[in-house]
Amino acid sequence: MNKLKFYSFLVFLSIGTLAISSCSKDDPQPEIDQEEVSNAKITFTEVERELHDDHYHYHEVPNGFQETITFDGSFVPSTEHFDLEEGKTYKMEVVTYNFQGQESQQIYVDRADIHQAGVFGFTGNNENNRFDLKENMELAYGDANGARVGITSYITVTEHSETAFNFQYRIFHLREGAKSGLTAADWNDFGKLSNAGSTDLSLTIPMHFVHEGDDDHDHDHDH
Amino acid sequence: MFNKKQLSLFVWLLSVATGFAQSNDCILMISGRVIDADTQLPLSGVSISIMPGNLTIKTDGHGFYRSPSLCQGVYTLTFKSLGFENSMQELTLTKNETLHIAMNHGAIVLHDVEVVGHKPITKSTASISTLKEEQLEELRGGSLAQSLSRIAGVSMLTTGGTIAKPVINGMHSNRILILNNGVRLEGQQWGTEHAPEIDPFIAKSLSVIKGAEGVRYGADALGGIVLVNPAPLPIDRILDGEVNLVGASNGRMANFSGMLEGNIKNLKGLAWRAQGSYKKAGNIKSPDYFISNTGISESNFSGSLAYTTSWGKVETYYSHFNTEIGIYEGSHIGTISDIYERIKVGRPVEEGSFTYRIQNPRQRVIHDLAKLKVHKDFDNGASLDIQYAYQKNHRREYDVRLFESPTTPSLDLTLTTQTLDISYEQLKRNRWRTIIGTNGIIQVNNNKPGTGTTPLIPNYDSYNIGLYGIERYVGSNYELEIGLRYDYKYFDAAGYRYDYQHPNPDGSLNHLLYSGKRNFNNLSGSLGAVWHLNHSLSLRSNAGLAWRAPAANELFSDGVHHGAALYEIGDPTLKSEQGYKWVNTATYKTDKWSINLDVYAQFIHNYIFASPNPDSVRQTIRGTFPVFIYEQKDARFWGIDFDGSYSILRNLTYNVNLAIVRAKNTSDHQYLPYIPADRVEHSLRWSFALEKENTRWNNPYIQLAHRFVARQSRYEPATDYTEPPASYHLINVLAGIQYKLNHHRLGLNASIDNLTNRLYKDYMNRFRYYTHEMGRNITLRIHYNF
Repeated sequence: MNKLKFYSFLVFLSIGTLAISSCSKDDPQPEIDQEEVSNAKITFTEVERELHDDHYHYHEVPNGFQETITFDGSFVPSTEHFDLEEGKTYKMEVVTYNFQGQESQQIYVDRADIHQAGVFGFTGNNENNRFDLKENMELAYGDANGARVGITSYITVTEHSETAFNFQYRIFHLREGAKSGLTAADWNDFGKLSNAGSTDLSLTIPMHFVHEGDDDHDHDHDH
Repeated sequence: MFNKKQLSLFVWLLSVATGFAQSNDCILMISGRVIDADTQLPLSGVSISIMPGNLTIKTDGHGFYRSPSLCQGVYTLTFKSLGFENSMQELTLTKNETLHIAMNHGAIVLHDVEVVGHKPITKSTASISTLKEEQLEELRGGSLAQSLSRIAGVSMLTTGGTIAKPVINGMHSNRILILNNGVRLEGQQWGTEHAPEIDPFIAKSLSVIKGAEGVRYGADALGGIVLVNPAPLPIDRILDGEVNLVGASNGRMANFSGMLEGNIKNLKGLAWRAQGSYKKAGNIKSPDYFISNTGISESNFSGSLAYTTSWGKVETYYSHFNTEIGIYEGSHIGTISDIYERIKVGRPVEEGSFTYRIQNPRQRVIHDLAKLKVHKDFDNGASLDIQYAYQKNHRREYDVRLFESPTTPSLDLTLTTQTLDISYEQLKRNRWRTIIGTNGIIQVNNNKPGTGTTPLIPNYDSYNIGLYGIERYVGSNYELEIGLRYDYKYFDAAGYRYDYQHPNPDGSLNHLLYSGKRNFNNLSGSLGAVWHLNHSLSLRSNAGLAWRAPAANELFSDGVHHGAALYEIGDPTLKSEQGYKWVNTATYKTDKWSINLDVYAQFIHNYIFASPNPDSVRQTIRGTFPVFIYEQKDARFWGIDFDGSYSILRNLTYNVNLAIVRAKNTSDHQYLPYIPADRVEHSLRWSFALEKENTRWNNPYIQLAHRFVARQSRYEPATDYTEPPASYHLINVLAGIQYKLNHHRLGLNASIDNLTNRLYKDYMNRFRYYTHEMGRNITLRIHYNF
């Protein structure tokens, strides 16, 4: 009988231990995704470039073209068609917002050692249908202190595109030390940039590089 | 599913075996128990010879023995055990007899005597493959999965060079069960990149049960079970110990482990053990380049305390596992177009360099396990086991982060698990062994807030209760087993996710509180038979039904899986998986031959897997990801595992190990992903005794092995980014020797893996898109027992 009591005690002790221990989950809490950018915008401002030795200087164009494309929470651009003119140079400035609605693009510049943007063109919905955008434009990084990040950059349309295409702007988060293997000339080398890190930000604009003065499209913006 | 022919064959096999039993007229039996006369503790492994008849049997882990069927007559039983005086008993048998024996210590006290007292018994009709201590010594320094992969039919699912999960007959993660010192390991095993949290140095033997042993071990044991068994605690030793030192060239790995154990002289029956290990490795190197951020740092310790008496044993055990694992940086990718770009290159663009430094992405996992077990032996040959275990698994995964500090984890999960196992086992006089038992599991999973990332899986509670019964009949040359089990599981989850269905007018997304309560019921069963045709040949046949409830990620995940560039979405309506597995095993052992052949088939109803949804993509700030949704289909697995050796000469042995798995989604007639390709490994081992007498050097050996892994040609192009890698051949060399001095033993062995430094990729490596496997690796192992 004593033995029976002993075993019963063991069983009930074990069950009691299970019962009194924490058996219930915590209430979940919504997490503000710090990694995510809530929305973004890209502003194109017409500038003039002037050659100085081996580099250009950029000057404002009074009453020049300026337009901002915004991207909503689902990263859909505010326009379905956007034209840039052949022969012109544009300052391209990117602004990102964190989930508190504060501007967050400076963080890319502050960590210039692990960030570099690239610009790519592809047709249709398949990003892998990339074409050589260097045939149509030039890009120079314009960040302060020669940071070569691409939050600010200058693009010059050198050749019009036959049709509209997807103009993709990406900021890559590079592996430590990988940036030393990249140059400013790699801005359109997807393989090189992609293999050096991962994508932090990807914004796509339906773009058309048009002849100078060409405005035969039904746009929802003014030139 | 089994066809009628297969079922008929099985029924016929059982009928033959049962018929054989009924035809036997000599049905008397001698049974009893053997104990140490000094300590009164049961003695396992005592050899008992019965004359006439020249029969030999052994005592089990609790000192019990039982003769085969005997006719009426006079018998002489001789009890022999190393370190004890032989005991001879004469008995006139006219009815079933019980004979208990107390053996006296001999004049020579040998420390090799196995006086274990209440050793756990793993008896089953299922096919069990075991790696013993001496085999494990040749594998020290590797992970648990690497060691297990020496068993035919067991392979690895790896994530880079640092994370490896065992795969049994094509199944892994939640479809296999790992028992760490008798406790089912409960971590976040749903993740393909989540390795088992076990220090391999704990194990003195590793066993794999390939059947669907759902009755005995509960839910999740669809593919098989891994038993991680420490050595039994000592009974009569003051102080013993063991030291292992392992160094490897690739990754410049250093691994140390130490163990002390003993008994307390003034407290008879009290035994203790303390064990610890430390591992440090840096970036591993493929033949051509270093793979960055593939270091590992691991520190583990464990302690046991047990009190053994003649009536039973009380045992406590605690283990702490702490690891930090670097994950190849190049695996963190953005979009599907990124992964295609990586595949084009197929390797890191930079040569890389060696460092021990681990940076993000990385994992930090701490797993604590504590158990209390009471074992009681009854005079009638019955025993009762009550085991309570508590586990806490703290997993933190650090990602490449944009805004947050690199020391803020992206995933911070704490899973606590309490298990209570009660089993009662009785060895009856009529040759039946009955096991009845119950298991209870309570699990609580919590995400720690403040990660700055929406959790991949929710917070949840889970309660399980299972009841089972197994009847086992041991005939003179055959065994039968039947089992039945009922399980109930309650699952209650809650979490937040983005409400993609109802975006705000500006496109922004709100958080949505989701919750789900699910109840799962399941009836499992098993049927097994063993037929010992003669001393050399045995046939086994086991059919089992096992089940598992869908895991939290399969029910509720909703997020980007960066390693695979997928957006995974769970389905809260998923039902439980039910697996019917039939394993047939032939074992043949002679002086020259040792052969084990497993042929198995498994049908899984409601097999859960993530399937691509070709018409759906999810746009995030990092780009576009293909959407994979968890769904259920029926699946079929079958395969062959073969393990054989032949002694060509007295000192020269040839061994071959072969595994073939075929798996299909039978609902859609499609191949399942991540099924191991056909593989064969064979080796020549030359081991010999040194001629010199009284030499302290002993057991030298050298082994040359060749492994061939075929290309996996059975895959679905639509579910993978690229075709599986090519087949490959590897040459490995192993050599070793032992030095003995009194009770001390020093073992030395060295191995060279990938001797030819071949550049290759393995289909079962989830990072095969970005990197190759490890290049040549020279490992030196020193093992010292005292």
